[in-house]
Amino acid sequence: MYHRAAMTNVNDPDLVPEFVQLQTKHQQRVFSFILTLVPHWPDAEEILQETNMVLWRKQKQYEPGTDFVRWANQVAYFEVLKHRKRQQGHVKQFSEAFIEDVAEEAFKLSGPLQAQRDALAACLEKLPVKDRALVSHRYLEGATTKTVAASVGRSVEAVYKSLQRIRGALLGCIRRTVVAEEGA
Amino acid sequence: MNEPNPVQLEVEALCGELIDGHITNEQRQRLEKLVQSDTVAKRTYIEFFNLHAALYRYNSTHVALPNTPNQASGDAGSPILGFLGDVFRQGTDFLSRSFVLTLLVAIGLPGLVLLIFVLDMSRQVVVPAPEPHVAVAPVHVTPAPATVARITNLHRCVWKEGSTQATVGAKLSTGQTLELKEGLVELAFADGAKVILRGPATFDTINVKRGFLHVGSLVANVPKGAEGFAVATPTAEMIDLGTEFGVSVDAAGVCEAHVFAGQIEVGVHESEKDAPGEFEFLTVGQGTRIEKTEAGAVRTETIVSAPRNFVRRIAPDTIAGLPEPTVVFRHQGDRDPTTEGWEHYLQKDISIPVTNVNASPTPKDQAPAWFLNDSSKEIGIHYRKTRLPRSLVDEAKEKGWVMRARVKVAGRDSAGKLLAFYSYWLKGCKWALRIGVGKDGNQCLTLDGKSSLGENRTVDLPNSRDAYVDYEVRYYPETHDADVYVNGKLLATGYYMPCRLGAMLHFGTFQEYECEASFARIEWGIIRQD
Repeated sequence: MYHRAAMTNVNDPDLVPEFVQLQTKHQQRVFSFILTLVPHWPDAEEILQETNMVLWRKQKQYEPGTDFVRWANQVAYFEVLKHRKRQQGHVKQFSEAFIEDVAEEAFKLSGPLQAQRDALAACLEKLPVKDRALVSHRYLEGATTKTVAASVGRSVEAVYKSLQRIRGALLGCIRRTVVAEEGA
Repeated sequence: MNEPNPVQLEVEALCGELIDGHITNEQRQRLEKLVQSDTVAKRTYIEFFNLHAALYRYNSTHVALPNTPNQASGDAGSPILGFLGDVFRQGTDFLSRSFVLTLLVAIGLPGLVLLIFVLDMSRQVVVPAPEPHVAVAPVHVTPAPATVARITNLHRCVWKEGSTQATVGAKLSTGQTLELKEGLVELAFADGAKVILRGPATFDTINVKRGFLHVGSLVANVPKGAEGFAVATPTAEMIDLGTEFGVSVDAAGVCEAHVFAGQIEVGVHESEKDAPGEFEFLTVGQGTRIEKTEAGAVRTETIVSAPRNFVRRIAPDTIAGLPEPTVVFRHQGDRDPTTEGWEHYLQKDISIPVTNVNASPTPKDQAPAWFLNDSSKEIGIHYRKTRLPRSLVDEAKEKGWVMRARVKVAGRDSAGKLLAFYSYWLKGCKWALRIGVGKDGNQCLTLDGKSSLGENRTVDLPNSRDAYVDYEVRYYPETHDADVYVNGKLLATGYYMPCRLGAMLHFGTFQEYECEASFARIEWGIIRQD
C-alpha cells in the first residue's frame, strides 16, 4: 500500500538519504517544469505535491547515477495530464498538442534552464532598487498586478508595463549571463 | 543573446497576461499558435515560466529589510533547529508547503526523524552557499498554512493511538492524516465537498478539492459548484462531476467506487508506468472494483453500486432538535383504536375459537393506554391501516417520515420471544419495531433486517421492566433507510428490511406467544419542512 510501502522504504538506509537529497535539491526544477505546462500557481503546487508522492512511492525504481530531473519531470508530466483530465470542462486549458510540444522542449532545456535560474540572483542585483521593490511586491504569495498597483499607489496599467519591462530586462540579463559563462 | 526580437516581446507580454489571469481567448490562441509554430517563441515561453517560478522561490527565501542581514537562513546554533525554524517561519514557503508536507504525508512520523536528519545534511552538502542579499521592502510575512477542510461532525469516534485526536471544528491543513480506529468523521472541504469517513480508515487531506484514502471507506457529497473534487486511492482516482459517491479501500488494497447520484470519472493508475490509465465514466447505480494482481497489473471489474454498504450521513445522537413530523395516523392513550380509524383484526386460523384474548383501556389508576391481554399461543391481536392513500405514501417517501410508539410489554412466555410490534410496510421495504422480554424481565427490541447494528439484531433495553419505552424510527429519503431512537437516544442507523408488500401500518401482538402489551401512543407522520 502507498503509505506503508513508503514507510518501509524509509527504513532502507542505502536508498533514502540519497533520494531525499535529490528530491530536495531538484524541487525547484520540477516545479518550474510543471508551471510551464500548467501556468496557474496553486494548480502547479498541487501537481508538485502529487508528483512528490509518486516519486516517493517509486523511489526504488530510480537508478542512482541516472538523470533524476528527467525521471522526475516524466512523472510530473503524467501528473499534469491527470490534472488536466480532472480540470477538463471546468477551466480553459491549452491544447494537448501544445502541452506535448512544450513538455518535449522543456525536457531538452532542463540544463540551460538551471543555468538561467543560477544567474537570476546576479541579475536581480543589477536592477534599480525601485524595480527590485516592485518585483518583491509582485512575487509575494497571492499578489497580482492589481494588488501591487494598489499597494504602491500606481495604476494597474503602469505597474503591468513596469513588470513587463523588468521581466524582459531580467530575461535579457539572464540570457547574456549564461552565454558569457558558457564562453568563459 | 542580443536584444529581444518582436516574437520574444509578444510572447513575454502574452505570458504576463496569462499569469495575471487576464488573458483573453484570442490572446490564448495567439500564444498557442506562436509557441507551436516558432522555436524562439517556444523557448521564450519556457524561459518566462522558468523565471516566474524562480522569482517566487527567490522572493520567499531572500526578502529582508533594506540593509539588514538575510533572515531566511537557519538558526546559527543548530542546523536541525535552523531547518525547523525555517519551516515554521516560512509556513507556506515553497519548500515547506509543497515538499516537506508531501513527504510528511508519504513517510509518516517514523520517517520524520530521518527526514530532518537528511534534510539537515542536505543543507550542508547540496544547498549552494547563501545567495546574495537583495535589500528590498517590505518584509515578507508568510500566512499560516492554508486550511483545506474542517471537521464538522464526529460520531462514536475512536482515533488510533498516537494519531491526531481531532475534535469538531478542527482545521485540517494540506497533507494532514486522519487515522480513525472506529466511528464516523464528517469533513467539510473548503471547496464545498463533504466527506463522511468511516473507521477504520486512514485519510489524508491533500488540498481543498482532493483527499487520499489509504484504507477504509468514505462517502463524498459534492454540491453544484464544487465539481472536480477527487478522492485518490493507491490504485485509482475518483473525480466527481457533481454527485454523491462512495469509495472503499480494504486491507488488501482492493478499491471500490460506487455512484449514488450523478456521475464520476474513475482513472486507474497503471501500476508500473504511473501513466494516467483509462478513464471511465460511472453514473448512478454503477460501480467499479479495482485490484492489483500478484504480477502487479491492475484489474478492474464493473459492479453494481451498493449504497447500503456506505454511511452517507451522520445521525444525531438524540432526537432533540430534529424536525417534528405532521402526524397523519395515530393512536392516543386509552382510546379504542377502532374509534380512531384503525381496523381491528385477529390473526388466527379460522377454526380456532376466540378465547383468552381481549383488548381494553388500562385501569383508571394506570397511565392511559390501550391494553392487549393476549393469553393465547394461537391468536394475535392486530390494529392496522391497509389502504394508505397513495399521495400520502408518495409524499412521505419523498420528504421523510417518522413512526413513534410508547409501548410497555410484559411476557407470559419464555424469555426472548417476540411479543408485540409496530410496523410500517412500504412496497420494497418495511420497518418494524419488534418488542420482547429478556431473561431479566427487561424489554428488548429486535430490528429485523439490516442496520448499523448488523442483521436481525436484538438489543436489551436496560431498566425497562414494567416501564413504558419510547421508540422513534426516522426515515431519510436520500438514503432510503431509517435511524432508530429508543427513549430519545440513537440506537441504530441505516435500518431497513426488504419486503414485497405495502403500504400498510399496523401494531399489536404476535400470534405465537402470550403477553400483555400496553400501547400508550402510536404515531406516523410526514416531515414537512416548508
